[in-house]
Amino acid sequence: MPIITVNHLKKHYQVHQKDPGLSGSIKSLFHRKYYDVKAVDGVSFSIEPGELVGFIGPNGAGKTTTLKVLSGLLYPSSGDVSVLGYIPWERKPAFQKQFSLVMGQKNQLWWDLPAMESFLLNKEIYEVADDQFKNTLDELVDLLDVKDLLKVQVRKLSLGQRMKMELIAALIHSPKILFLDEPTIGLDVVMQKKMRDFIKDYNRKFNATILLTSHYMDDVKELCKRTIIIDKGKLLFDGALSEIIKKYADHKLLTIVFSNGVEQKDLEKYGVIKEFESPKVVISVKREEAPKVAAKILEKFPVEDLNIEEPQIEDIIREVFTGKDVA
Amino acid sequence: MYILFFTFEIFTYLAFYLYWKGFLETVRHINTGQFDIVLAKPASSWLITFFRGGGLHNILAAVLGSIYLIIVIHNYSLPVSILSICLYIFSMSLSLIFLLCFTSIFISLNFIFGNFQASGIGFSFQDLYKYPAQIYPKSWFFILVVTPFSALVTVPATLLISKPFDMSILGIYLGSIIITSIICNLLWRFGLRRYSSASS
Repeated sequence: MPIITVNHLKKHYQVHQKDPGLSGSIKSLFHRKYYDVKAVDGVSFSIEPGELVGFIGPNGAGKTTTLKVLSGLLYPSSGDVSVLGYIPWERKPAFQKQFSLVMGQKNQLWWDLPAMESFLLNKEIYEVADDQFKNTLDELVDLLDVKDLLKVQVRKLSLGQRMKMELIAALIHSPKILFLDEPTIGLDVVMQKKMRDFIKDYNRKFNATILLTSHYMDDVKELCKRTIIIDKGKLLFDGALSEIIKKYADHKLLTIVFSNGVEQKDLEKYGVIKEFESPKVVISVKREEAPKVAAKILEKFPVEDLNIEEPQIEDIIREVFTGKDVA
Repeated sequence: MYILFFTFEIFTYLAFYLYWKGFLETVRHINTGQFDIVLAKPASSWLITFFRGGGLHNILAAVLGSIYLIIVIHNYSLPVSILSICLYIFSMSLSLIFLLCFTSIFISLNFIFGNFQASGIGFSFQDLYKYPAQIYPKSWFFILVVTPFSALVTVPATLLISKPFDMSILGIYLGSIIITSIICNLLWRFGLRRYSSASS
């Protein structure tokens, strides 16, 4: 039975527009101009317990708004949502104790106090038993290797260290569901890898359901078997990452290194030239014709190396967002 | 007058200590979306966001006011009993709740209108509760606007020294606390429904 169910979720805002300057301010007191923003526009999906789902989309797609509705921060304009059998925006404490929301750009730790103080505060808020708190804390501290930092003021920690502490604070009550909104934003590549490994381990060890939004495709590629793509408030795709390639990329890329120089015009009849830096050429050909085209090129030209590859997932996603054909 | 003066000191600096940081931060958090973190927790968002505590100088000033109060009571042999002290503490708590609820009503407007600087609105009325409530006329304007504030310090001070009470002032005091609490609760809940966070 799904742990999260979303049916035709809509969240529309009315945003006020104001002309600049003092006259604009006075005018807006008497006559306000509004425009409608359809942040989420009829999104439906369900998530099973223990799934680790990636939620991707360009800026303003509606990812964070959806996450905020699921965690009860926002009331939807219409639609039904059920998380752990609760209606999130009723904000029942029994529901709130079972999930956690980590937002990469917002922190819950008290800035001037050591992280340990915030953990103890969360322990009281979430009513975590002493022994459970100790065991969970010890485990998380070991996993994230932050034992020496527990008594250091949060404002003295680096961004990466702070994100680790944020994760611990979010997980101290062992939530069943974790909403992660861009958890690796601003982190260096090493720290990003550590965070991903931790999230993967946590999901595997505790069977926690995780819904992750990110702009970094590496987060989604490494962590999520299932991806939901959202754009302009609408759900574009829901399935395995590999299915994105089949659905949106009906072409393959032939990367050829020639032993001798080749004219670009001689290759144009085989497909779309994506890159021409002699002796290396990249040609895009229709998926079903790729083997045949490769054979013809091998026959006709002096080829040193030839690779048939899928388009990069980042390129596919980019093209999906910009509405272009992936070719 | 001394009792009133030092009660005013204790009340004002306790209020600053308990609420000032919370008032400032709540307005900022509502408008920057940082309030999301508060709202996601299984505890009253109202309590978490307002009770932050801060300013050692404020609590020290309140303690100093208490010391002066004790000195005055001792020097003038004022009729203070255990019951009157308990009533004093209880009524001071009610006064602090009124100030919190009153300010919270205006801070809730941030949910609806956006950036609405209201953190210091309760403290703007300091001049009203600095003086005894009895000095103000009994017209509708004063009863509805001034007397509720003027009673915040007058009532605890009067209860402490067991002075005879103007029951109309006590009635206005208790009534305004109840009404303010109800409006505060309703407006906060209404505001939470309208809360739109901030974009990430």
